[in-house]
Amino acid sequence: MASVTEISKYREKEVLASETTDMALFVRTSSEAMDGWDRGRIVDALLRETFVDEGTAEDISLEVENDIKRSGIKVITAPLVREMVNAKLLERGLEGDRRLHTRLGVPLYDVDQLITRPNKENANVPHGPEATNLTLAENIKKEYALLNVFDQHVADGHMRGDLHLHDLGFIDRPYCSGQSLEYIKKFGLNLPNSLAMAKPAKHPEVLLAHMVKFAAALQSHFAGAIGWDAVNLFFAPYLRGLPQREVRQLAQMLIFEFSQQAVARGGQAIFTDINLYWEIPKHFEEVPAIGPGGEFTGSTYSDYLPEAQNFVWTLFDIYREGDGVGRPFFFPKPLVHITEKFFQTPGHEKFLHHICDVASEKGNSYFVFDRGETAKISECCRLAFKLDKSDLADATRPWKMRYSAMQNVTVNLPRIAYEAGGDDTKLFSIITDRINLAAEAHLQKKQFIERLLALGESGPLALLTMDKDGEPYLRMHRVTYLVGMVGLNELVQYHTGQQMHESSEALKFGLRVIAHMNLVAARLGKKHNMRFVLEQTPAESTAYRFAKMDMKLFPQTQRVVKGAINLEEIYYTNSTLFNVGSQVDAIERVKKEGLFHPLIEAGSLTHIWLGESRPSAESLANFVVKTFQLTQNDQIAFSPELTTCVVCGRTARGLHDACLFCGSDRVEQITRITGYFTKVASWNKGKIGELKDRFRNRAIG
Amino acid sequence: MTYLFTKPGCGKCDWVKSHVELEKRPDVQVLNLDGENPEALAMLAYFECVTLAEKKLPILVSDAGEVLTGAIEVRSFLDKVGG
Repeated sequence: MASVTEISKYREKEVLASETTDMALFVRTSSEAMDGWDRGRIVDALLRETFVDEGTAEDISLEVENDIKRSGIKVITAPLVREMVNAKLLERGLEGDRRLHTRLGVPLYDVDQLITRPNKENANVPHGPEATNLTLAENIKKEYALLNVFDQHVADGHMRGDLHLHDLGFIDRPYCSGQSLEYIKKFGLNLPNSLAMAKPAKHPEVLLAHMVKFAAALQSHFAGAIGWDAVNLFFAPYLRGLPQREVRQLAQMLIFEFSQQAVARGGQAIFTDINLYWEIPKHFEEVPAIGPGGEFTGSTYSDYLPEAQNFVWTLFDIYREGDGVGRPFFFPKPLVHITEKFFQTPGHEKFLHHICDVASEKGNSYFVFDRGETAKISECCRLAFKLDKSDLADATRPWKMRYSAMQNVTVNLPRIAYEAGGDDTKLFSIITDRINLAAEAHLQKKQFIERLLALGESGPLALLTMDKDGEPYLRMHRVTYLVGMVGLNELVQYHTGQQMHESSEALKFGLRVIAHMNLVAARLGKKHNMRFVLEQTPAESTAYRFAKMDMKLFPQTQRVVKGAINLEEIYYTNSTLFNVGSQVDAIERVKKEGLFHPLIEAGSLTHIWLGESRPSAESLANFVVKTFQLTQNDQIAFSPELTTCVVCGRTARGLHDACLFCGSDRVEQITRITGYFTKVASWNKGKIGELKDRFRNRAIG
Repeated sequence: MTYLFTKPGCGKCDWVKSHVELEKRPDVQVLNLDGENPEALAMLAYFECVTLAEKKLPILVSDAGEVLTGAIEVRSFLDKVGG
């Protein structure tokens, strides 16, 4: 039975309703209905969503009702009513309540633009209905993140362009993930919400199917890349005794499966990296191998060297051929680790030539340098999870080797130089402030994700809480928090008057900035007991965003910004890289850019833009050896440029406006945007500007 | 200029410091890697010694760019150049 108070409240509502239903007004609601006017709904919403008292809510609802009556309008939308209420909240100085009462949405015009035009923020998102859904959802989640996950201090820092909070549209998931095939080899494919459970694979093609499905599941739980460790080695126990024809078929399937996953999230290919080794990495030498059915084979991984080597060789045969029309595969990205042991392993010269041939021809090969005792899992455009002692201890149970980054926050470095006005003390003080702000952003994101994880199996991140080996899939204690940087070169140029390639003093100043960032991040890491580490931000869109924002706010930007200002094709130089247009010899660039790499734990890369040139495999192999022996560089990639004809299907070297073979202008230009290949037509204006400026190294070796 | 990289709590670094009168050596700049000194870390990176410093200290980088590690080697070099 209802209490007297409840009945009284009900009657009050009835009265309220009867007072307002005489208005001949219909409201288009968000639940796709045309409801009659009901002022009480305003009151209900205010009481439910904000902290205003009942009297204020009543007053506001009456004022809004009067405004609507006066306007003579016959049909109104619920979002407009809400905005009118928000205006009343603002008039009363109730900014906090207005914020809580915000409606997240997208203007009609913007939706029309999204549906009809390609999204150029991320060249890995194709244009189609699924991609539009993804982009719209991202837009809403971005707003949600800036209003409800981050405090105003952090959100304003992002909105102002002091820093960039990456992947806000994926706020309810971590950034990226690196893992081992051993997890699905041992536990099979048994995902939360899955309709069927699969036991550990007994055949290599089934293992591949599990890998692809698990990657897709992970893609929908992480914002960025999905990396796999030592793929050729962990496939090896399944390949023993397999005829070469079948090994080749499997290699082909692996590459095509990942390169054709344009059916996954938002029609987006899964950003996949496969880490590969010619040798047996030291930390896996004595590890018992898992074979078909998830059973230990009785051998260690050292015993599978021939199978692992044959598989990696065959994978590169497929990369060398390219896709159906000879284009490079965009994904999965093959990352070959070059270690001390690599050079001690028989056959390494031939293998190095093989992968350098692919690098020259198609550009696929990435060369990851693990010197001394260093071991890491690499992924994304350049991200690396450096394995520490406890990680190497985990190598005895490789299924435990899964590493994630929670978020990437990038600092706008050139702006700091403008604000410092040439004052060293001020410059370093602002850098410290910005890293503190980045740390706050990380703390807030961590708190939000932990809230979602706490919902366990019934929560949105059930996959990351699944516990098959005594701990959740997402191992929070091993998560890293990335602090990136954009435009070190422009900071140095503005502050010292020289770009980093122009003098050793400018280069040393750049190193001082990054050393300072490194030490501040380490100090904050100790304070919060979190792994704050520097990463070279790929900055596919951030380098453009920062440059555009600074052009509006800081006239000084014109002195250092790169690109064509008149065409708005402007950008800041990525991370710690040298000016892409500077005519620096390739090995000198690799050596000098490499000076920064030991200070940037979570990954660095130097690009060598090949343009139309096709250096010999021998030249590139020499270059790779020199890079390993004579520099500190962490990773290099050679990037050729290609043009594929849509009409005749042939691929030519270089970027051309028309097909060199049939003359058609229906061509697709392809080259590396940041850390992956894609079609130039999908690039944002800043990247187009950068592409025009890139200095192509024609002499390598 | 010769650079000598040291670290608090490094016994070998302290040994070198106690056996060479560094305060009388204007040709030697001592850079202390104490976690608060970006200048020292930047110079260490410039001389490509960051990874090396994780294993061995002190490190000496001579005027000619030669890199030496080990307390005895560093002291001998400083004695020879200083003498």
